[in-house]
Amino acid sequence: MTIKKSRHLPALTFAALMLINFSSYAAPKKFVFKDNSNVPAQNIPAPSEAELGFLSDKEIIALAENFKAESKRRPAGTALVATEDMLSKEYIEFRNKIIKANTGAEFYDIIRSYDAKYDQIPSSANDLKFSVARMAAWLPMKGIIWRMTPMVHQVATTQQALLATLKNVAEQVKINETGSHVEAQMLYLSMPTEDLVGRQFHYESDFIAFLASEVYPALKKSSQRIEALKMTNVQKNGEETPVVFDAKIRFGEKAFNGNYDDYDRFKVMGEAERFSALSRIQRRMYNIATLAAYNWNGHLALKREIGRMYGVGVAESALFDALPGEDNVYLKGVSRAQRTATIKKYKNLYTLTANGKSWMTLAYYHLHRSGLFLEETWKNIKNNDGHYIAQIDPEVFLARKEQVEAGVMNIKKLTGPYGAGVSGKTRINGALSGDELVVDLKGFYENPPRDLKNLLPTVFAGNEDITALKKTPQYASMREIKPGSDVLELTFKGKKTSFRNYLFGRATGWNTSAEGYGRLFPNLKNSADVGNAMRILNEARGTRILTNGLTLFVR
Amino acid sequence: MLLCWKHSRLTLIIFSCMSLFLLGNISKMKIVFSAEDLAGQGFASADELKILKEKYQDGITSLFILTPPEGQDSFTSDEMCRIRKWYSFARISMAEIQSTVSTFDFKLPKRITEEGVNKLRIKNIVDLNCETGVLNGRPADIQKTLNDSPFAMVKEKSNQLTLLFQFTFKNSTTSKFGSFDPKLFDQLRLSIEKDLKPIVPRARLSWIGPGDYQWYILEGFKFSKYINLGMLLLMLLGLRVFLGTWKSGLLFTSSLILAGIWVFGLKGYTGSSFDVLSTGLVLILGISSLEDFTFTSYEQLNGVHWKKSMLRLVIPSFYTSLTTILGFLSLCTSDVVAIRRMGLWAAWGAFIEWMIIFFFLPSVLQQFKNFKGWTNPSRAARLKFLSSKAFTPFPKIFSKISLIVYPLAVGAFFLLDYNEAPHRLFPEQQEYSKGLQYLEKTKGWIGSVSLVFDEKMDDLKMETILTDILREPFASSLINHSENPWKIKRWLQNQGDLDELESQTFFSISRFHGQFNDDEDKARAILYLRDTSVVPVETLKKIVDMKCQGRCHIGGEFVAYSDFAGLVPKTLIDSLVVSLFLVSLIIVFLAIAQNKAAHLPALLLSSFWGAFFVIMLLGYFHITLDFWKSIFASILVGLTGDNAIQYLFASENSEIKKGIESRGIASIVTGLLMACTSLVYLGSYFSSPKMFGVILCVGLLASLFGDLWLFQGFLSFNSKK
Repeated sequence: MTIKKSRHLPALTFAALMLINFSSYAAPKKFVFKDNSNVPAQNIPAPSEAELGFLSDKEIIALAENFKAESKRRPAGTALVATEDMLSKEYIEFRNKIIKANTGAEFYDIIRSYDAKYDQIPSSANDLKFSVARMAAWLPMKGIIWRMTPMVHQVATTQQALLATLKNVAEQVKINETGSHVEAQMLYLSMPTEDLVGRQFHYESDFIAFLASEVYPALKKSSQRIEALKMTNVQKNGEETPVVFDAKIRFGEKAFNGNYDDYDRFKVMGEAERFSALSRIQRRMYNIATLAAYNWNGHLALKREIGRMYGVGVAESALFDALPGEDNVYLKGVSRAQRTATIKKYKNLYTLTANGKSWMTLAYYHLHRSGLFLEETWKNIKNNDGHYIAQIDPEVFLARKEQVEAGVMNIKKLTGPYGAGVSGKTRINGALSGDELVVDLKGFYENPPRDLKNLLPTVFAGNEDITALKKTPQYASMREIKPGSDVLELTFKGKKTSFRNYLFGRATGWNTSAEGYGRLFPNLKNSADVGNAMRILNEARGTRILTNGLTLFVR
Repeated sequence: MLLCWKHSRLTLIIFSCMSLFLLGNISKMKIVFSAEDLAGQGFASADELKILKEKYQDGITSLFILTPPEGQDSFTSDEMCRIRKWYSFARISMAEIQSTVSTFDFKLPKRITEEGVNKLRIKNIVDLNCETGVLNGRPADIQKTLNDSPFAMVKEKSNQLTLLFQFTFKNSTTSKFGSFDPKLFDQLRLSIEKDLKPIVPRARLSWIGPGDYQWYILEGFKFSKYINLGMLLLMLLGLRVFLGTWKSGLLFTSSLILAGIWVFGLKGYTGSSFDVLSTGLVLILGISSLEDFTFTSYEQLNGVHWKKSMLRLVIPSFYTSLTTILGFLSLCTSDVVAIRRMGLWAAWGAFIEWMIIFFFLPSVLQQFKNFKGWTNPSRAARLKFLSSKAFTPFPKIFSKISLIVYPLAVGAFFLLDYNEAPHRLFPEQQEYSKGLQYLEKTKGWIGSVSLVFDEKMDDLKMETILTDILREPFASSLINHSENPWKIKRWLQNQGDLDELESQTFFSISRFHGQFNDDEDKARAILYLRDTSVVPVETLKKIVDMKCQGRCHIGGEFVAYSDFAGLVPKTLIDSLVVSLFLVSLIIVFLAIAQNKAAHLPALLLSSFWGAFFVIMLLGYFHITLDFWKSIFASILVGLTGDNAIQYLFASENSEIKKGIESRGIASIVTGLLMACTSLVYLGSYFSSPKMFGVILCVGLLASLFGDLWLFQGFLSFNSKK
């Protein structure tokens, strides 16, 4: 049972980060705005790979031999039927406790007690161990929403958006999961406890430090446990029986028909589930490592400022709306150049921290491992029933088989190179155009930019795309209303009319030095080529790991 | 032959090398026992079996019923929980499993009100909570619910709650076992022995699945080695008694083993399959080869040197082997590939046996300079007391009366009963037979056929056709129950207060859908029959064809078997006619060559009397004929022509009576040995060969009677006495 299993949890846990892109035009008077951009960043040392104690690549590949042994022992597809009878008594006891939890405290105590006695759980209850190993990653999340509120309250609209989301989620829980333990989980995440008093996040760095020093180790423990686990319940006589997951642990006491073989309730968990869980945990650790590498203090202040820039335009329009005359309700809008200039004012924001290089190297290490687990999973399941594949990891396996195959290949190309002296340069081809792009993700992570702001665009378009049309007789009368404006004027039969050039201010060039995109895309022809590189990446399968992060800066 | 003797060492080397080579090929033999593998080409119903399996996910199924001990209406809740746990693990412990069903899996929809809320629940009919150990409802009520369901498998005549388990394995074609891999069943059975039976040691376990039928056939195959061993021991003993030495038995059995290597080795090399009929190949070879050896041995008993006896008998034995070979080859006229295969390889075996006795054996014996033969007259049972009786002609009047066998046998052909059933291959006390008897007693049916609709039709049309079929009194008395999609949907509607769309949807997503509808949504109904014998199934087929008018037909293993078995009388007649013709030709040729043409009528009438006598018995005593028994006549004809040939050659230029006197005792000994050896079939795992052995024994004794006594009687027709 993981965070992923609850459809509400991504919104609850990471909503703050997702939603801080919303703009704001004024902070409510009762909140005192703090610009954290000069607050020193977190300084959490990155652990070494040896300290993490994970399996090596060779060991992972050797572990993947279990897939073959498993497929020889078990039927596939709809013939693989899991039932109540296959659950260990310890797992049943745990399940019954979880689904009966009414409060966040009860929920926390159950997970904590099982986490504490994890090593005492016998191998005949490896089904329990698998669940506890994954659910123990929840332990740092106690009261997380409450802890985030001071930070989130810096920006009113961010707060308002998050509040609206949380209220909506809470309402949905009451409607859809009424009387179930999911309410307890909701309370677990949103209510304070005595030990959390004084531990709220005020600065972005507080939150990042929490992720790096509490969530990251919890994920590490989760990963270590799952790597060491045998995916069968081993009975006293040596007989091995499959590990089964009971979805009642997710859907609650009243769910399902109470049959020993209820449809969609019981699922055999094998190597595919273990490997894809490990892949996902590594992806989460990668996310945290990437965040921990840079200074995020000032991020909310920046969002507030940009929000205000948008808001000023609205206020101006509202003011002039009262005046008679023709259409003069014009929002000026905020151009990319303006936004970029604003971002660059925050000197410390997005700069590499003292331990940033180590964290970025570590981030690549996690990415590499995530890709390896994914590759081994795919290799061994791709000929199975398609419906089953989609259940294993919908983040990855929802496309057609050929598309997933291409995606896994690209992930392997991007994240496969590993070790000292190994070059990370590889060629990626766009799926639509076939255009080639040379990418060196390893090089980028091992020598990351000292300031992510160097990834912002440097060249912006004016009206040249549109004014080129002046050559045609129809648009010969075109002129800028004023220099540097995106509003142009045309005269038709003596009557003037104006329109906005939407291409004005778009990014057309980026930094191609080593501190910019030069290390990531070694073969860039010129600064405009970065846009081309992004196009190819967006076309290619399996490149979301790269494009998700870059898009924020490229655009 | 002399050339071989002259270069005996070379002969030995060549023979030995070939034997070693063929020995290595025995393991390559493919073993087949399913109807689709046995029937071969040209059988539409057998060809369809594979298609039906794919269309309706039939696979290869093992099915057993677990019945509580006498006096209990069900297992205890604790026992049921442990049984269900065994089932949960067993069903996912084999990669080759395609699907499983048990009584525990049957569900029904129910609308209930819980805490004031209306709900639709899909509940297991056997609602067993193993956490609390509580069975929801009385066992008798649960069984009643199952009895009221449309599923024939779980219905019982009583309200005793029994448990049914069905394991369906994926279709696989193995190089050794054709479309059946017994390893899968071995694993399941091992799990049942080790893990299930100890839970309920007093429960009754009845095997009834089509896959189990094949598994038991394989068990029978394995058992056949004991029959062959028994035959060898009997021959060893018999030859010791009649020839006076153990040496004689050893020589003969060794030659038989060598012949076996040549037959099965060549089968393996050429890719010819080993089937149910092949289990009797060694025995038939043994019986047919005895004649060459005993006649040669009897010359030695009469003081002839072994080499001279061989020289003297090589030609007559060639002709006797030739008639035996022709008798076997006549089976190649059959439409059934298994029978053709049997005939061909038995013929080859008979030829090889002759080669071994007259070419290989002397080459071996020649290496021992002091070898003086393998008989001991002082220790042999010479049967001298029979001499006077043996050579006394049968009274003329009785000889004339005996001729009535011929017209009676012709009449008997029309009375032959071929109403066999596949499960009767096993004796009544055999485990699978007992399972089917139990099935018939508790559920009222013993097998099923598929009513396949050849075009997509709505439920109402299909129901109308089936109702029409059931209106026929014969069909209605034969069909105990039918499972079909419309019945299931109607049951779902009634149970769960569902509308038509809901019941259609629930049915579509259930595991039963694929068993009743193919990918093109063409449906089938499964008809459970009280009797799966050939005649009822054939009759049902005719009724269905009449009612369906091209829109549907019946298919399945029993239909294929009935088509296949319907050829039994034709096999019998065709092969008998051919063997009679060919063997007659040989006898005519030899009689003319030996200037004994005048005795032709006597020769022919006496030679075939035994075979016709047996046909008469089979017809008038209504002994059921199956494909096993259908081959006896041509084998008998081939074997019994031998005595006549021996008498012809032994008489040389003198009266044929001289030949009878010379070889008469030998023919008695041979006949007795052959008849006794036939009875070794009584130890067969299968019931059909048991009866075959008895028929063959009676036939051989009747043939001896005909060859020796009736022949002399027929000869006396020409005399004035």
